[in-house]
Amino acid sequence: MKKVRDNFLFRMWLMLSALIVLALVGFIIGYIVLNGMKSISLDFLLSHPKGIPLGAEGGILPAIVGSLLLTLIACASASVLALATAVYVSFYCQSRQLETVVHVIVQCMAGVPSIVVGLFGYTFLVAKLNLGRSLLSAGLTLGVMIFPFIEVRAEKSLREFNRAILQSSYALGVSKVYTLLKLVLPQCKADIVAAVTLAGGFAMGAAAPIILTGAVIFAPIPRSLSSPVMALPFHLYILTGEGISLEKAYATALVLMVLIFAINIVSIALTFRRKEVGR
Amino acid sequence: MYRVFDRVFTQLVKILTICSLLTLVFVIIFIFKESVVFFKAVPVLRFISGRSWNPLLAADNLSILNIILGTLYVSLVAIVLALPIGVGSALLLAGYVKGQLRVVIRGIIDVLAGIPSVVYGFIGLLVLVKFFETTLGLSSGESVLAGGILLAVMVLPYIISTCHESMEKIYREHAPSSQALGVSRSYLLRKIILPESRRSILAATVLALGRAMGETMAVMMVIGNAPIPPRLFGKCQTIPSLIALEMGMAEVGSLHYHALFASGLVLMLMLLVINLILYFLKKNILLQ
Amino acid sequence: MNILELISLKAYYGNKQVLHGIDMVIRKNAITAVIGPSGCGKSTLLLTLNRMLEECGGRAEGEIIFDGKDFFAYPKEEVRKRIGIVFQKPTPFPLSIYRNLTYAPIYYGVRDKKRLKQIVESKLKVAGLYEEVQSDLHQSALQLSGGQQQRLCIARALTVEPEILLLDEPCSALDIKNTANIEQMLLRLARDYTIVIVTHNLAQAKRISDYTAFLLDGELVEYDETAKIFSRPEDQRTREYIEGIYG
Ligand SMILES: Nc1ncnc2c1ncn2[C@@H]1O[C@H](COP(=O)(O)OP(=O)(O)OP(=O)(O)O)[C@@H](O)[C@H]1O
Ligand SMILES: [Mg+2]
Repeated sequence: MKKVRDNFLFRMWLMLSALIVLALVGFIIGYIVLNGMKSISLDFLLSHPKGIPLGAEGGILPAIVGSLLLTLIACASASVLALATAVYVSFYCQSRQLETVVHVIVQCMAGVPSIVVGLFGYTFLVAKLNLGRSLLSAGLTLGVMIFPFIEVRAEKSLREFNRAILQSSYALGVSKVYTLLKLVLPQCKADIVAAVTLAGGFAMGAAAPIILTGAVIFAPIPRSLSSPVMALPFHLYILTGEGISLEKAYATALVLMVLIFAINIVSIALTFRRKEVGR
Repeated sequence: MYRVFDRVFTQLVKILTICSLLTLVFVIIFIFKESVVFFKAVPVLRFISGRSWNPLLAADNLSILNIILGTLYVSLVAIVLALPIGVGSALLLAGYVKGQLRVVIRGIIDVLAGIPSVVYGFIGLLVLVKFFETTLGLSSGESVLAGGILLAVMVLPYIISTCHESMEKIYREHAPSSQALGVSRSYLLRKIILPESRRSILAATVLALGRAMGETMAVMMVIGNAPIPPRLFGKCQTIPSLIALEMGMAEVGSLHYHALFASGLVLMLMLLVINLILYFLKKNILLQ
Repeated sequence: MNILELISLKAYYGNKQVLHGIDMVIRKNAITAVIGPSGCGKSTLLLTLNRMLEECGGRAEGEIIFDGKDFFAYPKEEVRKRIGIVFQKPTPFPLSIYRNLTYAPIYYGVRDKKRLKQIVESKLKVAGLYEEVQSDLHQSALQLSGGQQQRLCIARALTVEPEILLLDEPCSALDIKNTANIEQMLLRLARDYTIVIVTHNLAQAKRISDYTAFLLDGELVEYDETAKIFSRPEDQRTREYIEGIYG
């Protein structure tokens, strides 16, 4: 009897938790989509914020552009460095100790909370280097934040490459670089691009690191790297935090989520394609 | 043909690697150094054991016990709420859901992980906090509980995916022999899969705790941000939200500024300690 | 004529010594078979001769004379180009058949499409694979059968025109017919190339090789003309091995 009851309770637990998770996903997405749809329009997407207080009317074009630019800078700066590091550790590094040191450093950095990264960006980039609150400072800060993520994933993908095949390539007298470019990268490309896009999604949604380093309440579409920017997550924060306009906030949240999902879908599609081609 | 290019490429990889490592080391040291300055003015113990935080008064009034407690409280509430749900869903996924459907559900869970924290904060403010205020009749809905619930939702995907991975592996290992014995699936899950995956559950807990403690925006929007001793239905303050809120006001180089760095360092050290505990726990569980 | 001369060659993995001073000469345009029980160091010997040992976590000591000069003084890329190796397990690149075979020539500067095509076809023919795959050279090499993959790897090793070809049990994954094909091919190749082949199949060594080396626990027990080794071995241990005692 007791056994039957335990089993029943156990199953209830599993069912309930899964139901809760699914309900949460449904609720969150439904809530944003339904509410956001009401106040979204082409005009909202393509015009500048207006009204008093600023943002109560008008659109979010500068924030969309700003977020895209920030993501681009973050991805570009982080991926070049992270890929080089991953390639070095998995292909060139001869000593185990050095490898461990690199891993420890990367893990340390991965453990730094994003707000502390922002703090660093604020003090060092904005103040000490005098870059000011700008597209560049904020983009680089985001880059520091996503570096470990890209490095870890890229390294994992490179290491999973079949060692016997590598050795067959070296055995032909072919250099490491040629092997890397012609054999390894084509295989790992999808994984690496997926890692970068996923990291881009994080960067785009992150508000904490850019509050202090570049995001402002209002700015036109940035003309140069040193201009301050508007960004979707920060704009959303201001719209709600200051109680400026609920409708605009819903719409902004929807735009932000759609952008990030688009990025994630690209990344998932890439991962899938790799699996199909792979084996 | 490729000789010159090879050499250039190799050198480039090396230089870029050195650059990135130097940058990372620099960032870490920088944070450390900016914090240590503060500890010259206020002793560490004092800083983490004092209860008052008021940057407008003298240096003695910069201490963060309440804020540390707030950070821990909110995160623990989140874990307590998220763990059973996360583990349950992971078990269900591992044992009952197969093929395409599983891929879809994992995708949906990843969607949760991809939602930016500001959006969570936004929903928390409009739904959770409002619910507390109107339905429960609390004077202020901004509370530890609101932050905890919100964080619980945010860390769920991490718990599920960490647990699910190892549970699935264990399931695949044991399912054939267990089915051969004619034992029901839920019995297998309960008696073998669940106990066998305690290590990954632990790992998931620590991962989630780390996430929760470092989370800024969502928490900041729903906890009220008052550096007072935290109570479940009262306001509180966490270290990340403290930094986010006050950094703009603190003049670079001032004591207040260094105090914020110092609290960032304390947060990082707390995360480190948690990870170390996990490391030793893992070791002990392995030894058993 | 001797193309390779090994003088007191030793090989180590970490602290573990695997080859304990091998002295032997490899003759040009001949087939040399290396036989011996599992784990005696045959693969290690081949890896040393292609400078791949260090890539596999080992290191070599001693002296080798290659083409009249110090083997270890050559750049290792040059050694690897001039001494090709085919591993025990087939390792086709995850590319098309065609690109598997143009991979190395392109690296060495062949750009002309016609020339590349010609290399691909001639090497496939040498390896006896052309008939089977000519209809679709652009299919993935991973879709070939194990035996086809092995022949592709042999063809690939030949695309860089090596002088010596090292083969590590090339037939262990093949059926009788494929094995016979490869043996035919090796006999043909021996006119232009020097071949060193590791094999567990004593009959095979007897059929195709001119010289046979018997390796035991990292030592060269006996090395002589194949006919002599198989008919009148001098060493007791060689006799026992050939009679099937070590297995
Ligand atoms: N990468 C390695 N690291 C450490 N030891 C190794 C390594 N590769 C081989 N060995 C050891 O070196 C010895 C010789 O190995 P080798 O592969 O040369 O044997 P083999 O004669 O080719 O055997 P088989 O006929 O089974 O292929 C073995 O004892 C093996 O355990
Ligand atoms: Mg071998």
